[in-house]
Amino acid sequence: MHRVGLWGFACLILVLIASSLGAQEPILTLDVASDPVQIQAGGRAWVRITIENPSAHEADDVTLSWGGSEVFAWAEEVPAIEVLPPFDTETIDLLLAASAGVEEGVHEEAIEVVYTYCIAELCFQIVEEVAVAVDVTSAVPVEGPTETPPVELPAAAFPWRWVGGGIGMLALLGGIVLRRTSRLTWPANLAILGTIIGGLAYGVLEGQHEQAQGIGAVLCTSCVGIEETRTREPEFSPQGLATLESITEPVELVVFYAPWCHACPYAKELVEQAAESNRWITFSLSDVEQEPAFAEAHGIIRSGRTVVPAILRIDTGAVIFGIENLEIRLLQILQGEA
Amino acid sequence: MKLGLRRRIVQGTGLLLGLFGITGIGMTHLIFPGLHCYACPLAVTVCPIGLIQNLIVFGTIPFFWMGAIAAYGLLAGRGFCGWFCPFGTLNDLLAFRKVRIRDSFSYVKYVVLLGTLIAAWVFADTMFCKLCPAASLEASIPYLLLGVAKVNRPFWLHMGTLGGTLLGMVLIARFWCRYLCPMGALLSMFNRVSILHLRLSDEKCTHCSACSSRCPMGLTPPLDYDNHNCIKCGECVEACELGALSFHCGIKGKK
Repeated sequence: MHRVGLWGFACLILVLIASSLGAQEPILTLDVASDPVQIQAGGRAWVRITIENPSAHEADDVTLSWGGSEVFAWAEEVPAIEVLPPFDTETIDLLLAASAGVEEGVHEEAIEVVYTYCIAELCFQIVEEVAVAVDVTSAVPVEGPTETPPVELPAAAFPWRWVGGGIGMLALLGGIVLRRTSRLTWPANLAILGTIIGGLAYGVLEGQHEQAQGIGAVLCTSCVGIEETRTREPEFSPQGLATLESITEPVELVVFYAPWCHACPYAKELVEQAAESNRWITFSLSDVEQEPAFAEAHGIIRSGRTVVPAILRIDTGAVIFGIENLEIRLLQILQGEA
Repeated sequence: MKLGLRRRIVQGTGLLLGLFGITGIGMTHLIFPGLHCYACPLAVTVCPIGLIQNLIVFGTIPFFWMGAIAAYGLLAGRGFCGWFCPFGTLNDLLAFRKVRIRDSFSYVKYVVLLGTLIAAWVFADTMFCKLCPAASLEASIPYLLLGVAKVNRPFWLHMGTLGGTLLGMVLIARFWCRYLCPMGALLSMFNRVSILHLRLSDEKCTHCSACSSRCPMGLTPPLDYDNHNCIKCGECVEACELGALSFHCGIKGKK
């Protein structure tokens, strides 16, 4: 009987591993618009890069550095993309400089992309190289800046909050250890009490009590595991697209979401695809935290409990919750069957 | 009033607080001092384990959470497991047998706690919640009845962990609290420094083992009265007719 605990733990680990299988994600996709890049020896040229995140998870700290030969380099410091949200696309323009002595002709170069991606077994940093051709000529003028000029890098702030959190954690653990190992109780009590009062006070000042309430009030159907988290971008089936085309009357939808809902990007993306494929379908997004009264009026918030993601058809008032069989249910609501 | 009856009343209060949403009060700012799923349709408090996973996913430094957990810990340590936690109460209700097994397996709950925190960071998701038997009982089943949850793979996964845990509870007293509860692991770190604590009078103790036979955590109270696993339920206090064990409130120094 004493092995039951061990077996239970082993099962827990197995289930954790099993549930992580199949959660593999494609990584970011990059596209260099001006390929080959036309540049003059000793001159500069703009390079437009489009980065797409096709997954349901965010990519963090995306940085682009020149990974090719040393005769080329970025003319300005390249800003990092701190967060690339799920299903989002970012376009940036970078100014490439060529040295004066570079040979004319096409050079096969590379841009190095580094980013952090938390998916499947672990959070890992991905380093990739994207091939780019640079055509050096002697007569190409410098292209003007594009619509989205490079943004300035914000000055890195000292991580006071992390230091504060670390000090609080150390004080708490130190206090506990001191109380258990030493007769010197007052410094230990002071450390524990300081952590309690400091943690609660600073947490309230930071609005973390509101954050806790918000997390508790929103039932993200996949967060609590009553629904599967979708890790891939949704795609309408051919039958679904045919049904979408048959809609010939205006339909306005609202997608209700919450910032910490893992299933919401999936619902948002599917509705967006529907709107893109049929001009009669329009939609708007509603953050239930920002617009609680609106959500309450349509039954998304009931008895102080919010269920997201939810999709509302405005003219009929029909609402569908969650992402289980969402394509079928979305088509039903669009056809007025739900 | 007998200690056991007092405990049942306090446990009932914990259960009522857990289901206080029936009054129409929505989610409050409070963090629950036990394992109680905030996804429960009637919950008015946040589950500390669910919350910390979300905070890890969102990269929030958990000042408020840390202060609240330290406050609960300093107040009673694992006393909340024995006196307040609804899932702990369920353990008590199903404890038909008080099987004593090796105490060393109780360290598994620290691995579960660590695994929960690491999994939240690695998978950027509330992985423990997807398996949590408290969530199965308090969220999955109610939401299935309300038509929100579906009988699908995540639901069966929940039912599997719930079934296994309930079986464990029936076979071993306080199975979940002893071996697997991450909240119990958190509170146990404060057990020896908490204001509410047990005290042993060496002069009165005859080592008759009356207390040990009653302990739902399988401890030997004359030796383990401040053990990290002690849930301060007071079964041993009641069992000792000589009054060798007693509850005390105050700052406890090293003996």
